[in-house]
Amino acid sequence: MKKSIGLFFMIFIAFTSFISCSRNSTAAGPLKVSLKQTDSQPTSTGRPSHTIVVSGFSGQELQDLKAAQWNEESWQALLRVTVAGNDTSAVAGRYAVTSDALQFEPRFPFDPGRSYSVRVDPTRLPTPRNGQVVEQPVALPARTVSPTVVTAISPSAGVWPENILRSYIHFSAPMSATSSADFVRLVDDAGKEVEEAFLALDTDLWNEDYTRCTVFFDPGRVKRGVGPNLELGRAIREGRRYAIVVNPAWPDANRQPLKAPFRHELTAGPPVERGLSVSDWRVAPPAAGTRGPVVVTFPWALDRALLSRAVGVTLPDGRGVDGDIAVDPGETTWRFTPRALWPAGDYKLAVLTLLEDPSGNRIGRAFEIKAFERGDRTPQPERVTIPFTVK
Amino acid sequence: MRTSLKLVAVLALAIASASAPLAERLGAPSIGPTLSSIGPLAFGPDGILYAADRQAATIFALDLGAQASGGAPGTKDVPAIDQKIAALLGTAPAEIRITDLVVHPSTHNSFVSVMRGQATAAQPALLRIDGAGKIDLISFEPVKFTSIALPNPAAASTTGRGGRANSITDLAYVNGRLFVAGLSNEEFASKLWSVAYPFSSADRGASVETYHGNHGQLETNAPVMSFVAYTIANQPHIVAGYTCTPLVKFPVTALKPGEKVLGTTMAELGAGNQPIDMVIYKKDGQDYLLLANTRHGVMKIPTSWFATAQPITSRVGGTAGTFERIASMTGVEQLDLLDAQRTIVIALGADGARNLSAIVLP
Repeated sequence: MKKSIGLFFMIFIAFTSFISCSRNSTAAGPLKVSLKQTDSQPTSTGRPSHTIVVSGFSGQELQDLKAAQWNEESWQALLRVTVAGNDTSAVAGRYAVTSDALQFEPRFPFDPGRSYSVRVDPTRLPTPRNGQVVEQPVALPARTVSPTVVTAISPSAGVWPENILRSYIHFSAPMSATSSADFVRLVDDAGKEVEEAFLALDTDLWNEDYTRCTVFFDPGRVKRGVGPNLELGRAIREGRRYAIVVNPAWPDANRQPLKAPFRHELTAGPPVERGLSVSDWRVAPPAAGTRGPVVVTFPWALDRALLSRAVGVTLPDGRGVDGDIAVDPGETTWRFTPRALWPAGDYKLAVLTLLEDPSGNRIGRAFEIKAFERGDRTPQPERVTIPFTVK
Repeated sequence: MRTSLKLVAVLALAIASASAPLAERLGAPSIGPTLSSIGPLAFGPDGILYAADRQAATIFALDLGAQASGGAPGTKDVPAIDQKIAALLGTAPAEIRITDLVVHPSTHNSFVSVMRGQATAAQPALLRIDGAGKIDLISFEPVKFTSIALPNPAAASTTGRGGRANSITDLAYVNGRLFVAGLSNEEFASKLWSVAYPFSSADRGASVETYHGNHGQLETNAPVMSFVAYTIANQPHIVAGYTCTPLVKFPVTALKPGEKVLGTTMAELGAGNQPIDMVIYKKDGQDYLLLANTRHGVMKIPTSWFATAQPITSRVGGTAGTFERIASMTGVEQLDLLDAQRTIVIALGADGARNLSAIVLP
């Protein structure tokens, strides 16, 4: 009886195969896995998208797959893509049946250099096919990139005020979003690390292209009389020498370490505990008919990043003048070079009152103020102006 | 999680300097939001999920539709959730950054926001964990949404190079308004920003400068890292945790646009510390604030003294205020209320893995 059933089943398979072949001439073959670039357009990651292609299905098998009303689990039972070494979940993506293959497009592009495991189980086809499970690793080639370096730090001067609040580290290429907390240290003149010098934030303090990281000193140590200040004092003390040290293990956007460590030597200067006053600035106007710069000189260094945004030149009616801004090393001199020749006339230097120095002192307002004791609840004006004339 | 839905007040803050016109997309909901990034999350009581997009300086209001609920209500513990999420997103655990955790108000499924990848190639992902511990990747394609841009940073120059970015640190919806707190990578000022929801062109949001007394002499404005709205003595207040780590209260009625607001410093929670998340809960008839910190762990703070708290005006060398450290809760990086009895956290374990687990409220 068992033999009869087996014979009947074989005949049935042969018959259905014949019918299938007559409907669709593509015959089943060995299942093959390949990786294909699917988009000529880069994805939002800036990289092309790739799809896993499984070929070798018969025309009938592909038709059956197209007709299958499968859920995610059923598709993954047939074709499962995982990160090599981490099978805790299948990679999320879309399954598509084309005229000659089954394709899997991951929801997020495959990482270059990362190995993925592809597992195809033909027994999980709508009409199960006898055969071995196909398991194959796939990987996009790793990118070869030049190592990233620290290009600058600001303040760029060798003397930093004792109450410094903020500095910037600039890089030659985009970095990972990793916090600076584990990679930037302050060491004293004995080579000993100054503990808890910086604000350990898990928030993202990078610029848009991840080439500049903002490093805040712990404001609780900067502010006079608050707990951290009373417990530990300021991180740097006037007259002593220190260094900012960047650990090269800080990963860049390609998870590669920096090319080299970085070190900036500095001496702690006196604290700056007063607001900025534009009346202390010197404005040197250019000559009419030239493209010479307006040069503004400050009595002490201002914030490098804010100088690029918070100071500009306008006509008397407030319309902006197009030009390019440069900040000299030391951050005490600001230059504005117009795109066109200067017509003679009156102009204004427009300064947003949010402009700060590296200690957080703003226009007209020190970082630490007594404004409320004076009953001053009036918000700062948004901007102040300094008139100048081009002759 | 960045807010408690039991809150009864309003407020918002953002650190931007805020004068330029908003570039919001208003009106009827669209379908298929394109987020550049995803950070803090907050649910409204109607199940609208607010998501902060730092890179686009935009707040999205997402109607998740059928994706709001999974197969099973609640949230089951998921050990090594970072490894599972990384596997689902096709990458390594080191390549993902969990940016927030919130609980749906009715299904009690948990939602986790994640950035996958690095730098400008990083992509946002939103995941749902249900009562069976199943992790599903939310598809943005069918999601209805509206959005509103945060105030543009002011610029005096038409040609200055832009490097400024906001890190949105907290987000809350209360009584029809959405509140946003943030930290700029340039200026250190702090402003509270709020806007009515549904978004409309009639309300473009408003900013308030907030200060807190450090001691008797000096005040500074500084970034708010986490906040909740809470009713104190029948008056809606904001309770805010600042960097290094004063706990400050503001009466909402004082938060008038165009004015400086001085908050009352109620407690000092210790040096070298940042608040991560805070929620309000009730136990044995008393209200408590549960606050996760970067250095000092999780604190349970009774709120009964908030009404009578005198401002800390003397110099405090250590900590001040009434709180209890919960020694059993370690490594907490994200925290929200799961239900009336439990909190849900993502915590870094001794083995380096991040675990999602429900914990009975202390």
